[in-house]
Amino acid sequence: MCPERAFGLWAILWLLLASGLGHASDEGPIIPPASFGDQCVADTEIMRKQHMSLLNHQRDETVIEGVRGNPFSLVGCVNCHAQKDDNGQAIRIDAEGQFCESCHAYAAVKIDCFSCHAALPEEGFGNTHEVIGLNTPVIAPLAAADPAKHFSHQQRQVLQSHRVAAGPHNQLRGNAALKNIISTHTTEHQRPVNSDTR
Amino acid sequence: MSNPTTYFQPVRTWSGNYLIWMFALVLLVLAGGYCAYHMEHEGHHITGMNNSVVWGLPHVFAISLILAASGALNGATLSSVFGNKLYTPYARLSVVLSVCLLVGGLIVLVLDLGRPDRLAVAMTTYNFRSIFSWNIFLYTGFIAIGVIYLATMLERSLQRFNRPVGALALLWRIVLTSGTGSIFGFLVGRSALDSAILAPLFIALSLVMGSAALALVIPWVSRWQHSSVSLHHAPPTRQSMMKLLLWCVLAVLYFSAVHHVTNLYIAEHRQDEHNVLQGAFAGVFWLGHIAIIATGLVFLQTLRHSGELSSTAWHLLCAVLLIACAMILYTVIIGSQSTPQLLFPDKIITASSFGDAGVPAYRPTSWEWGFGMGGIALSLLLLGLVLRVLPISPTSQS
Amino acid sequence: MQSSSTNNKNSKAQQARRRFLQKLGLLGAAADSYTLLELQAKTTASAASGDKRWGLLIDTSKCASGCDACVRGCNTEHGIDASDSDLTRAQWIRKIDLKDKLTGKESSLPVMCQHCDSAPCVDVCPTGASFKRADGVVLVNKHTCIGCRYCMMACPYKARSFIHENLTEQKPSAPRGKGTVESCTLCVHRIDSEQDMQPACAVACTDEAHSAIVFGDLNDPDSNISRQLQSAGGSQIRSDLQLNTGVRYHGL
Ligand code: HEC
Ligand code: HEC
Ligand code: HEC
Repeated sequence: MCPERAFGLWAILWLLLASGLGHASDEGPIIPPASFGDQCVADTEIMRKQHMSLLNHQRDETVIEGVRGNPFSLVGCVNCHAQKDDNGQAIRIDAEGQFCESCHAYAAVKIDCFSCHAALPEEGFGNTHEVIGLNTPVIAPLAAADPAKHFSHQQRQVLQSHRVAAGPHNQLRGNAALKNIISTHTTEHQRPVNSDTR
Repeated sequence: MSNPTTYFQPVRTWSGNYLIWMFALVLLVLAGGYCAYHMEHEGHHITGMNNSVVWGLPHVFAISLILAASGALNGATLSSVFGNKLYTPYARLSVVLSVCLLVGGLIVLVLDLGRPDRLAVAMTTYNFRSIFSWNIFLYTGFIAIGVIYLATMLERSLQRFNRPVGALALLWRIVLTSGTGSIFGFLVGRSALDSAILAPLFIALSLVMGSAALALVIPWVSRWQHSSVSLHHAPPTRQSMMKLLLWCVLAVLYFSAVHHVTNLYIAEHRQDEHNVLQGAFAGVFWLGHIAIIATGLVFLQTLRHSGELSSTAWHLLCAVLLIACAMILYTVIIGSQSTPQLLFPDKIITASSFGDAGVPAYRPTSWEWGFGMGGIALSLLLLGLVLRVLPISPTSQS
Repeated sequence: MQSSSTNNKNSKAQQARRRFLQKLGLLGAAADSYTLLELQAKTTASAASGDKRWGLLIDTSKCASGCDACVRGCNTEHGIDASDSDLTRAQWIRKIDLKDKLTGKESSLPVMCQHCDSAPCVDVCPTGASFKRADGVVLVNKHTCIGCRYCMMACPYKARSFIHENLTEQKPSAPRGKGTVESCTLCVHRIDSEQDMQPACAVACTDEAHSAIVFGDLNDPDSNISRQLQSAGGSQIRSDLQLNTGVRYHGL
């Protein structure tokens, strides 16, 4: 990203944050907790700051090179991060106040990913971790019918490796510290749709 | 040599005429913008376009505007490259018109994309095997050259570059028009289009459309200027333009004839020809050609008797030429997509869910009309605004 | 199980990953205080390999007129709604019934993206969103597709569809959305993920007991598809264009 643009973004974010636009307090965004797992696919701090470039990278790797089963799958994000309503029905992850939207609304980011990508977890995902006996089913592109069958041995190992001990963080948060993270991380990541595809 | 000295001024009037025009254009642009927005929002299913006819009326508008843009530069190049003094008063107008038409055409083209929000992708990632990619450079380059060209006319110190820049512009626009023609010209999948003759046909069309557009804009502008300059210059210019148009019309007819006659002799293209000459597109096809031929004959007759046409008749005929050329483009662009693609030459197709046996007729919706007209209005609105700011309009000093 | 060449690819992908991580380390503010969880270990699938060339062989003598199991299989797999207008809905596969002009012999066959070796759609795409994968699968990268539809103009097989409407309820494994072009992907999400996975159409055809669609690696002389091509032969639609298609037809 060119420095002017980065600076512009930074300034806009700054302004937004300073004014706390659209938010009751300047406590930062209220992010719903993950529905699965005790750990994200990478360190939480990294996820907050770098999820765009991680997603972009994986996106190109999957679509262009056909590499599948890496951790930063958008399907995975939805599986773990989509909430359920009181009836146990999954809620679209891009709905207002939901995981992706909560933070982005705060940071005034708009993403179009879910005009194509499913915003609801994979069918039968709720059972997946029981079937395989894992806490963190990351990638399950084929898991719909019979998830256990579709995971390769290798993939299972990966899934296992996610069970790194980590304290439960799944409380609802109004995280003031996020403000800093959001305002400092923005400079370095690549834009999602363009430039880095070649 | 007896020409009165020409001065150039920005349009200064706020008179009713200018304001009404600008107001009407703004309304049209807004209406067109709404159509485009609605199309983006709802998706292309609100248009007549579908998976067989993938490029519809908006493309006809866009390509028409782009071709007219390239042709409108005629006035300027005739003046600065070929030294034809008759056109000098209109050289500036010709360049500005050209750039404005191109901008209008490009905006229509972009807004007709499925994802106009990804324009940044189109501007940053190129596939150099694609003629489309090259055209992006040709179009933006044309705008840049147009601006520089105009500068050499406006700025005394740059005047010595006028001729070389004019020559460059001339060359560029021939390449640009060929490039636009080639978008359609190398599609092996579409037998009606798979023909190198489309590039010269597009050049000829562009000359007709551009000159006609310039002829139509001149009185529009001079009315705002309240000047008599158009009277001073009108008769000789009009005759010379008539001559020019006549040649271009002949070229259009020639290339079109070659295109269609050769198609008749290529067995696999015969079905397409049938569709164009007798089928769903026959009306548009023949009307367009007959209108062009008739106009050409009127011009010929007028020139032979060195008579003069009334202003009304002249402008009417120019408008007819513009529309007729657009109709020919329509048959090329849409006609070619309206024939089934021949996958199995030795077989009869008895069933298919996807128009393999016959493509249903394309019917543009009012969204597409509104969108296309908005593009034209945008070009003219831009023109009106530039004329206000820069000394473009010729006047013979009071 | 993996051939040495795919291992090669694998390690190449890992190298790329390492470079990527290094870059991250440089870029990320104080990145050294974080670790990506054992990222290296997580490359589970190998990249599409140029040693392979995926293809289909369609035996028209086994394909039944009136049967559209493959089309339905494809639609279900990718969440394609077949209830919309034939003109504007996506048709990755369509069934065509034919009658020979000379002999009157009737036949029926599915037509989908032919996965050309020299694909016209790839040539014309202005942004490079139409591309051919190393293993010969022709795809649209919908992240860079601007929806210009030039590829649809260029495709001799009319195999591509433009999405004319907003879509909802897409399948997680098959993202699709308004304003972009799409076509048969040879079910890359299936064939990449697991050995011996077949495209949905081939599975559906076999389930219908027709087995008219054989999927496999055209570069592997011992694969089922190659052996059948060897023994029975297979022609290309519009072979005159010399596109060297990955989809071949027997009994055309
Ligand atoms: C126009 C539709 C479309 C849009 C919009 C879109 N994608 Fe995709 N995406 C796809 C398709 C199609 C695939 C290929 C799926 C496959 O091959 O399995 C894909 C694959 C991916 C993958 C790899 C598969 C996976 O889940 O790991 C990632 C990551 C991804 N997209 C991220 C994104 C992100 C981030 C955005 C928003 C910035 C986005 N996509 C927007 C259509 C889209
Ligand atoms: C295995 C389930 C799982 C997957 C898959 C997953 N996450 Fe997470 N994610 C979590 C958990 C659990 C947390 C909470 C960790 C914590 O609080 O330290 C979390 C935290 C986060 C956070 C920080 C949220 C906050 O409250 O600050 C972000 C951002 C995030 N994830 C993004 C993603 C993205 C983007 C993806 C897809 C690439 C993804 N996650 C995939 C489980 C997952
Ligand atoms: C911790 C808050 C947070 C959460 C949770 C979060 N994001 Fe983000 N995301 C951001 C911020 C801040 C940006 C700022 C991007 C920028 O600099 O323009 C961003 C940018 C992005 C971008 C790049 C957009 C652009 O136009 O640059 C994508 C893609 C994205 N996020 C995807 C996701 C997805 C998918 C999820 C849900 C799985 C998600 N994010 C959840 C904070 C978050």
